[in-house]
Amino acid sequence: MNKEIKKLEKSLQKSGVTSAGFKTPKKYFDEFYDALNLKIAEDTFPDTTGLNVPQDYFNNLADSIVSKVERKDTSKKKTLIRILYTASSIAAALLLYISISINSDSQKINFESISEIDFENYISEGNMALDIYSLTEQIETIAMSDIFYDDISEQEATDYLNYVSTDFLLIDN
Amino acid sequence: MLDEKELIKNLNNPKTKDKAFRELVLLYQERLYWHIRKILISHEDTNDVLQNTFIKIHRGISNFNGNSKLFSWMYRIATNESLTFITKKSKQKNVSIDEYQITSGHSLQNDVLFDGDSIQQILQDAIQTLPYKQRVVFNMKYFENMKYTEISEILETSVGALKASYFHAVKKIKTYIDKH
Repeated sequence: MNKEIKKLEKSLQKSGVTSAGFKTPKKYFDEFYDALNLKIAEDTFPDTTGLNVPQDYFNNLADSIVSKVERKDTSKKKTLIRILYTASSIAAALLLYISISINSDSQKINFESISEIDFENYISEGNMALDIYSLTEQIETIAMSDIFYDDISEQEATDYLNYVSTDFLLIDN
Repeated sequence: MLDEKELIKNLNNPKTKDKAFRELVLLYQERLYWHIRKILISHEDTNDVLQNTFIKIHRGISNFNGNSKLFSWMYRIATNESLTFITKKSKQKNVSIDEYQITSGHSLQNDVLFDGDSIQQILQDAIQTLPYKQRVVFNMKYFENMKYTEISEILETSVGALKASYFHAVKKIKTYIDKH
């Protein structure tokens, strides 16, 4: 039997089959020792963290998150409308100033010479249609970064508006 | 299980967004929770950051460009939100981020939501001594069994750098455990 095996081995060697043909990745043996040490170290670590959650936490989490998201969406829309109304009021004042200064002949008009009454009369006479809904219809999306010029993150801006009293911005529709 | 492309399509459709978002939360809440929890340690802090993470995902889904997997994108948001939280808290307490992390680890002893033994406590203490990114890499590789390629996509760091980071993390932890 041994003679036959040796015969077969010799014939394989003659045909040029001297290795299995397998290869290793580049630098495999250079990095092997470090990788092995790593595994040995990991072996001494516990498998789990020991951290737990309150009972039913994950059962209730989705509802909590979804309701928070809905609240923030509603609050963001209201804030946007208030900001737009304020901006349009400023635009109205500028228009009033410009129209008065164009129509005036001899007297030099400046912003201080427009009384509050002139301003109120201008709006109450319907010279400025302040329809919030048609104003907001034109705007598809406004990012907070388009309104705020300081380096404030969206989260900080929203948190500020949620926690600070913004009664002065309330408008009766 | 919903196909990712279909889920993203539903998330960007106003008619199906709410339902799709709920599905997304149910699908990923636990995985993101444990990722954040291992960073922040406290359940209360984790709950806050997890919710903020999902709110950011909800707001930003229309900007998701599909260059990475959806989960990688969400994971990245969770990781960044956790860092933002730690940075904010450490500033409030007027300590460095490293000091804040070490204090968080020590608070485990009195935490009712920690039932680990002494070796698990020591391991957590050791992990808290690592720099933030090394800690994240260690948690993702060791506890979450993620591949380097997956971690690379999430943290936008090369595989080589991650391997080096993990190697140093394990060495430091081993040294700490042996010392304590």
